[in-house]
Parts: sequence; structure tokens; C-alpha cells
Amino acid sequence: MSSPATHPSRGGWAAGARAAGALIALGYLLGLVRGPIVAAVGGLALITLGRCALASPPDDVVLGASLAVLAGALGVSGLRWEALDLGDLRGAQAVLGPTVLVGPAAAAGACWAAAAAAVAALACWLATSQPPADGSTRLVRSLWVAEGAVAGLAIAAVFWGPSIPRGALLGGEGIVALLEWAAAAGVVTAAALGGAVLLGRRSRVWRWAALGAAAAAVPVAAVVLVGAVS
Amino acid sequence: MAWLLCLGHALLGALLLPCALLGPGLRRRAVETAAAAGTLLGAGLVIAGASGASGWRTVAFEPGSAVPAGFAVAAAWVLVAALSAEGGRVGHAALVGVAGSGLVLAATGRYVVPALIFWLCSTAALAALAALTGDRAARAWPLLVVSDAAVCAAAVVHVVRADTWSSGDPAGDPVLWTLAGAAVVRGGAHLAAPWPVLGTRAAAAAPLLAGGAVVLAERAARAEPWLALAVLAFAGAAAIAGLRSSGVSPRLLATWPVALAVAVCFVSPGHAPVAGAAAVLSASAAALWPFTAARGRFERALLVAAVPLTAGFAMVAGGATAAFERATESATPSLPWALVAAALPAAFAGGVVLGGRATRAAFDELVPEAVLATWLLLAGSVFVGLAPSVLGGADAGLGASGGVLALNAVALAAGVAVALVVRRGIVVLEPAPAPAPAELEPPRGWPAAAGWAAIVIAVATAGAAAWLTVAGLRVGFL
Repeated sequence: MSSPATHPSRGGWAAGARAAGALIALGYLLGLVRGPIVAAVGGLALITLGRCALASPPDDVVLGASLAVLAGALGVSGLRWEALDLGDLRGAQAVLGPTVLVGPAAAAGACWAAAAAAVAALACWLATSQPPADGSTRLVRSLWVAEGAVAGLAIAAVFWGPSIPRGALLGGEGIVALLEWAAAAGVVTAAALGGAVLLGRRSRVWRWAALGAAAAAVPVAAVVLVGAVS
Repeated sequence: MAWLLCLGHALLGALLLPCALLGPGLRRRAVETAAAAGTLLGAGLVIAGASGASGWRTVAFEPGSAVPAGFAVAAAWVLVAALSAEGGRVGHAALVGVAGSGLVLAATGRYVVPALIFWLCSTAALAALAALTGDRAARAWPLLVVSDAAVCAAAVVHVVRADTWSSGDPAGDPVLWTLAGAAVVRGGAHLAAPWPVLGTRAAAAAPLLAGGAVVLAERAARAEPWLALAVLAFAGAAAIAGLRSSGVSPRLLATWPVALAVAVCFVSPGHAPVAGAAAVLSASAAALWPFTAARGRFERALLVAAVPLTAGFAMVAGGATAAFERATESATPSLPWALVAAALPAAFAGGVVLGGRATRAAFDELVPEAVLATWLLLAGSVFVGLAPSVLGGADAGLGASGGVLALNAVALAAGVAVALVVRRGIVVLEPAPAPAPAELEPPRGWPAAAGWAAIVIAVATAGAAAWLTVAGLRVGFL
């Protein structure tokens, strides 16, 4: 029986925010609406707000810091292509290949570092919002994974985006490219979930350490990237 | 009709004064009627500014100035109506009217001297509004004096250096930095000052302070990355201090969105309309917090966090996109703009944490009208968030307006549906914790020396304004 202090209905607006945020992020990431990566990050922020409303201090700070690092890491991909528009990012990757594979080597390395930082930040985010093993339903755990998958899709979209040839979306090449993108998103999400499970078993200090390392990697990657392409 | 948009608020205030002789019920009705009229006038000013309607005499309706001022006065009247439950406070409402007209005329004024005079009148009304709360030890007028002294100094330097009496782009860096300082002090007054209005029936001053700060930043009319970084650093320090304690206060929530809006104005002045809307609506919701008990928590969180579906996100997205474009427009990326482009997402994330933390505390007092007003403020923010281009100014950069509107509308509907399903227990997810009791910090008094210094500064400011007026009249600037 639920206590007055934690009535199930009290999480209604938090759940609504998470649903709305996921829809917004997916709308931009899947190309239903053309817009900047900033808009997709906004969807992730709405999900984070819903999670912050459920979290107790200082877990909410970890969630916010994870979001900030993730946003910064995604921005490095925009710096690589000098564009924030997701359509431009997809277009560049369609012509030249995934962001993390396009030379020069220093630029590609910087993008790998940024992608790793994004995955680490996502792992911290998931570790903090992880539902307890006891007492949480399958639906709750599934939604947790789904939210991680949305963020994983964002990371994959900007660092290993689909290389769909023009006019070939419904053709064999387009389907293969989409499957490749989905696989990349799956790998990212699985890595983040694995990291989250590991971090969840340890003290909060480990999450801060991982976040700190990721936060340090993002500006270093940006500086290296700028030096490599200019 | 244009004159009504400017002077109507003061007119309403004047018409309300005889109503002080009426009984409590009639007095309340009079205040509510005036507040409704004032809200419509504010909305009219927003429409006039967004559409670039023709001005009146020495005022011009431009998006960057008229829209923030319109939102400020409209929100102020909404708060007056919401907090008039106890018999209607005619004095408060009348002063809000005077302050509102002063702000509108100052924001839209095309000439320095009239704008300065109206600005000082607005400040005097706000100071009187604070004094009406009755706590002699908590008068916050010294901070407003400092802010207005900076505004006056900026006006004098602008007139002397540019050799013009018209308000235009500020003449040089001293004017720019002075206006920036004035904006920060005015917008951040809640944090530093023992500002008594938050938690009292004079909370209607909050949106006027917020709108005034954005108007000052818009007047600077220049993209300055180091200024933007300084304001973000100030806001970040305040947020960290607030988060280190167990909860956040209405003072912090009323300051945070204003600081973010002022920073965005120094990134992209063209985003002043949406920044003004976001700052005013969020600060107003924060001002209503002490009167909403445990209700309206998530609505307030949405406003403070500046997340999608609200005006705040259009502001953040526009600022971040503008900063990124400035950082990458030349062959060698610009370091200050790159820092701004990196700082804005961090600030955005900080706002999300503040919004979430604000859902965990609730005050004792419940004024149902304050809850309704919070919903109204959120509705206004969502309206702007769904279609930010209606306010004029620079594009928020969220994509094609039709697609964005459709996606946001679907997301909004889905979010509301999910919320209702979970609230009714049809689907059981993680429960949110019940809010903990919150208390307003007791107002602190100023040291005697600070009060005397403020008096000296106020006299000097009035003297400078008078000198400027006389000098202008001699050359026939009007």
C-alpha cells in the first residue's frame, strides 16, 4: 500500500514530461521535422526534468550535469561539420561517411573522444535514473531502457549517422543504411546501459569521476578538432 | 489607440484610487476589473510590438522593446488579480499601473530624456510598492537606486558621446557595460536585496523588474560574448549556491530566468522578444510560488527549466544557435563565442535541475487564484513556445515553423495524456515524492551606511536627470 509521501499518481506530470520529451527528440532525430541538434537535446532535457522531479538531491544534480556533458559532446559533431542542423549532419555523413571515420586522423580521434564522452555521460544519466531492482515493474524498467535508447539514437545520429544515398531511402541501400544506423544506436545504448549497471553498483563518487572525465574530454576534443580542421 | 497601450495602465491606477473608499467586495471587483483591462492592454502592446505597429508621439513599437514590456505589464496585472483575494489592495494596484506605464513609455521611448524620466517614475512606483508591505527593515530600494544610477549614467554618456538626444545604439563600450550592469542589478535584485515583495501581496513587482532588466539588455543592442559569459557566470554561481542548500527559494527562481534572458540578449539582441517573454513568465510564476501550496509545482518547473514547449526553450535554442554560428563563421573559430556556445547548454541543464528541485518544496498558504494564474502563465509560455515567430525578432532556429508546431502539439497532447493516465492510476510508474515544507527567508535590513549611500546616489541620479532634461530643453530636443 503506498504511503501519502509517495503516492503513485504524483509522478503523473513527470511521466508526461518524459513522454513529450521523447517524442520531440525522436521527431527531430528521425527527420520527421528538420531542425538543429539543439532541439533534440531539448527533448532529452524534458526527459531529464521528469527524472529530476523523481530524484532526490544530489542525484538531480548528476542528471543535470550528465545532460550538460552529453549536450556538449553532441555539439562537437556540429563543430566538425560546422553545422547544427541535423539534416546537414546527416547529409555530410551520407557523402563522406560517419563523423568518427572522416579524416584527418586527429579530427576523427577527437570525434571518437567526444562520442565516448557522450556515452559516459549517458551511462551516468542512466545509472542515476535506474529503477531499483526490487519493486519496479517491467514497464518501469522498459521505459528506462527506452529513454536511454532515445539518447543513444542521438549519439549515433551525429557520430555514426545513416549514409543513405539520395533517393534510395526505400531501396536496398537505404534499408541497409538504416539498419546500420539502428545497429550503431543499439551498440551505443547497450554500452551506456552496461556502464550504467556497473556505475549503479558502486558509490556515487564513481559517477562523478566518470562525469568529470567526460566533461574534461569534451573541450579537449573540441580544441583538437578545431586545430585539425583549420 | 496607441496612447492607451502606453498610458492606460497609469489611467487604470488613477481610476482605482477612489475605489479605496468602497467595501472589500466591491474593492476586490474593481481591482480585478482593472487587472483584466490591464492584462488586455499588455497583450495589445505585445501584438503591436510583434507586428511593428505605428507608434505614438515619442514612442515606437518595436519587437525588442514593446514585447518584453507588454509581457511585463500583462503579467503584473495577472498577479494583481491573483493576489487581490483579501478585499483588493487598491494601493498596490494603482502603483502597479504607474510602474507599468512608466516601464512601457521608457522601453518604447525614442528619446533619451523622456525615457529616462519615465524609467525613474517606474522605479519610484516599485519602491513605493515595496514600502507598502510595511516592513521598514526590508526596503530594497537601495538596489533599485544603484540600477537607476547606472541607467542615468548610461544616458548621460550616450548623449554626450553620440551628440544625440534620440535613443539608438549605445555610443561606445562605457554605455554598453553600464546598461549591462543596470540590467544585472535590476534582474538580480531578488537575490542580493532583502526584497520583500516575494511572499507578499506586492509580488506583482517581480514581472516588472524582470521585464525592465530585459529591456535594458535589449537597449545595449550589441552581441558581446564576454558580457554574456559574465552574466551566465553570475547566474551559475547563484544556482550552485542555491542547489548546495537543501532547496531552492523563490528568490533564486525569480532571478535565474532573468539572468538567462539577459545573457541571451547579449548573445543575440534579436531574440529579446522571446527572451523577455520567457523571463517575465518564469519570474511571475516564481513570485506566485509562496501562494500555491503544493499545487502548480510542475507547471512552475516547466517555466523555470526553459524546456521545449515553453518560451524559454525558444530563447535558449535561439541563443545557442546564434552563438554557434558566430563561433564558426570565420575560418578560425572565435574563442569567446565558443565559450558562450558551450556555456549555454550547461546553463540550460542547470535550469532543468532548478526546475526539478523546485517541485520538491511547497509553502503553506494556498490562494486558488494564484494557482490559476500559474496555469495562465504556463499557457502563455506554451503559446509562445509552440510558435515563437509570432513575437517577431530573430528566428528561434528550431526548424520550419509548421513542422515544429505540429511536433510540439503532438508532444504536448501526448504528454498531457500520459500525465492523466498516470495520475489516475491506470498505469503505475515511479511515484514522485511529496513536497517538503518550505519557508520564506525572513527579510534582512540594510546597514545604515548603505541606506545613506543610497540616498546620496538617488539625489545624484535625480540631479543628473534634471540636468539632462534642462540641457535637452535648451536645445529643443523634442
